[in-house]
Amino acid sequence: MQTDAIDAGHAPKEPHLRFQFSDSARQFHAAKFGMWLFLGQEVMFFSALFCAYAYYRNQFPDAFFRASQHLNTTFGLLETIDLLTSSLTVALAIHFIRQGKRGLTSVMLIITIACAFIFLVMHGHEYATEFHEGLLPGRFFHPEAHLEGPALPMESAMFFTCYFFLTVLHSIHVLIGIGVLSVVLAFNMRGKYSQAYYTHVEVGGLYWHLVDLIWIFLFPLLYLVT
Amino acid sequence: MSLAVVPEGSPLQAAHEEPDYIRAKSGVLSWVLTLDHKRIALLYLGTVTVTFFLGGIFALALRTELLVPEHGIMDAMTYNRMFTLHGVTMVFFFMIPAIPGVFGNFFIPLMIGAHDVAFPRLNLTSYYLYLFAVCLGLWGMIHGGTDTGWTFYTPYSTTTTTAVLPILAAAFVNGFSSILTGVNFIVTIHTLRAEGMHWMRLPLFVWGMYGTSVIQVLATPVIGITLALAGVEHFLGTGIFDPARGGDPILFQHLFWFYSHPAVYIMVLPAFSVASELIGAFTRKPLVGYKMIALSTFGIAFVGFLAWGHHLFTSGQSVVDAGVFGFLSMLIGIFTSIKVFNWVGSMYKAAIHMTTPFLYALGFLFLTVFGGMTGVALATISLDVHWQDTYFVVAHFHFIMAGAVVLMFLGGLHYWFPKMFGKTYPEGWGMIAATLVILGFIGTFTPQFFLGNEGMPRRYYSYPAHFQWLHVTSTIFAYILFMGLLLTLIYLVVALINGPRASNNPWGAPQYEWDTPSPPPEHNFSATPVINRDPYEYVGQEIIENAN
Amino acid sequence: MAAHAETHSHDSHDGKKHHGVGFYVGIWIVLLGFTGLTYGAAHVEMGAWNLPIALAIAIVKGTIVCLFFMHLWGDTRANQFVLILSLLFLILMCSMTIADVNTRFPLLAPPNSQRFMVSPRGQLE
Repeated sequence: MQTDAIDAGHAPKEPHLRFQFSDSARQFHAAKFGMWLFLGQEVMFFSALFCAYAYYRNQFPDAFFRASQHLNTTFGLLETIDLLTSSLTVALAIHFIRQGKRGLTSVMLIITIACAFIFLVMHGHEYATEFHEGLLPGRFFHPEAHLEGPALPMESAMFFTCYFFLTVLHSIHVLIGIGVLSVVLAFNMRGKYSQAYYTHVEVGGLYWHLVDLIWIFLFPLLYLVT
Repeated sequence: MSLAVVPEGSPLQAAHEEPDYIRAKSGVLSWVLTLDHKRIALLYLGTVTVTFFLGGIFALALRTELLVPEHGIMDAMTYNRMFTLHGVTMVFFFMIPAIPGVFGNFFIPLMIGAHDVAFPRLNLTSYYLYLFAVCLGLWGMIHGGTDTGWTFYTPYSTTTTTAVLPILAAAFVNGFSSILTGVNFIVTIHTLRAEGMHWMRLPLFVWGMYGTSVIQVLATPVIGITLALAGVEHFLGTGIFDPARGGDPILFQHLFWFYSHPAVYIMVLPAFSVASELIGAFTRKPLVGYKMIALSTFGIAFVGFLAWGHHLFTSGQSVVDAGVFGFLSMLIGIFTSIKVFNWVGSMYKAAIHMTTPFLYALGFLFLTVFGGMTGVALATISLDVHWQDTYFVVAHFHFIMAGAVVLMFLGGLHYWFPKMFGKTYPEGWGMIAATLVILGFIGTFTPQFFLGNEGMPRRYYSYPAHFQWLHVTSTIFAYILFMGLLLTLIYLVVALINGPRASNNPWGAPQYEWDTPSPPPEHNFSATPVINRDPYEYVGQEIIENAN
Repeated sequence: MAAHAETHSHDSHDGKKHHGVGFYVGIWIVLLGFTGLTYGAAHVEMGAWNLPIALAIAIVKGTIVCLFFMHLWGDTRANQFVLILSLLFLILMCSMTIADVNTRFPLLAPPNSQRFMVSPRGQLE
């Protein structure tokens, strides 16, 4: 293996430093930049759905307004607060590991993951209600007669199509985020991170913030249509 | 003068004592689980060769059917599947991954003085995602494939009973391979450049790969979600593109082409960047207009995102949008022309070393210029109304896709063959095959411009008898093209097994990668190099036909 | 509660002075405030202005998350550029597709004009 011969003149390497990088700082910067690029593509991933939503809301503003009334706005608000809190806790997790306080980092990560689970449970409850009320996409759209207010027009199905695509995709990302943060938590509890090396925490945190960012836009666009 | 400046001993000397990357480790697992960017490049090379020939066989099948105006060797439904699978295989499984996956992977680290890419494990993941996508596609093909055209337009793709879902899934997975490769290359180019490798010393191949990677990262997710939307609609009837439920099929076209137009630049920018390398190597003088060629890459990348509506001119898009897109589409011609003029200017008063790669570069220039000009013509809405969905469009994009991408893939393969494998291929056979390939391309697609202008629609199984002679001409040359490609495969494989040993720099080329041994050692350099010259600056390199 | 983090290590990744816990909690409170504002604004009838205002507040919230929770403030220009570029393309995509619909010639038989639904396979529902 040639790694010993590489850069023999430099200071002894840290155990986490990979051979293709000349120093830790560069490797850390590369990891963050790579994650930002990935987040950029996630934004584009959602952008096609936002485009479809905008396209149809522009064409059927009234149908979208009436459909949105049937979403549980209180839950939406609570989910927003939940995700914002999880963003705070994951930012604090990074803050604490930068100081080498692994225990507090673990606590913050656990709270973040708990918030994520709460979000999924609440949203699952919303889905169950919508299923029960027949507020489903496309050919499954059969609004129940007992729903309050005037009957929903056919185009409201398009609102629910967009709603389900956007929120299901978002929830999949929440699930992935739970996975990522759990792995980071497990590694942290095994002592892998320190003040000198905490790349995974930083990068995992960035991913989690994106999940929150998308919800910041989903909440007003889906729940607060006027 | 060597690439690196190290106090004691030349790194090349030390590198010569190491085994090269092919011999460094042995065993199937060392290849299947390799993290070496050069071995990953060879994995890609094997797979893209298979997909290229598979796509070619679909093409030959449909061209054979088109020898006669009515039923030839297959029925109409099968014909529809042939052109669909030809398009899907060629676009998603060959043209998008080929040059980045093979030459990007192999040469970006070598060209910037790095030991590997930034994320080697991600690199291997990209390859396996691509391989998985190919397998999914093959599985779909075994189940009869689909007949929607590679563009999957709704409402047909959401209602067809053919095996469209596995093909959609294959394209979706392939997208992720593409995205991760793009992320890897961008981070590598930013963070792993050796000392002295400032941005304006980067080889143009690296600039081209950088531009390609930006498009890959930003555009590919859109096709992913669009194909997913179409797939879910097919499966569940969600109606997002179904007019009966308030949906709009044109939305599918907008979202599809928002990716697929930049996608053609994902295919073509690497080809342009290979062309820059070939012209830099075989004109035996510094390339003209380095900065303009480098920066025009970003012009193409950016404006490429603004032009997608030209695929919707006759689909029902508004006239206002059509006008805007038509104008924006023409702007791309400016940046492409900058490159073409600089390449031609580089050949002026040059001491040209005529070789197979350079012959491919000449064929590339011809086909790209005519393909590009017909593109500008098609961007004119009033003309496009006549040509849309005819063979004129087919000829236009094949001139570019085949003429640029395939010719530069082959040109790059011949040019870098000695570096990658340490062997030389037979130059005589190379020239013969290149002639067959280039003439084959020109002969296959030139008649199609006339066919299209006369009104022959694309994707049509039967046609009026007076078109037959043009179709027959096109098919004959398609077979000539295929023979040239088959010949290429044969002599390259023979050279791989049995060819004469190559020197480090058989072409006497000035670029950085030629300073390493042929083939390079596993970690490329034994000490991190320091770059002290420009990439196209000749410092006395000599052409060495064969190794000692 | 520590006011500022200590980063004396030679391997500190950016060498900058980092914010304390209070700073992050403060940002969180600001975000909650804007969330309340979004909720409140949605219940005030402002006609066509409701949507732009809701979007504007969301953009402000998103920017705050990016700049301070994701540490984009003072980060490398490359990272900042990635996000800006993605957002630009999002806006491009949405604007041209909406412009398409809004500038089409009016249809002879618009989608709402027929009161029956036909499934894609041609069956009346």
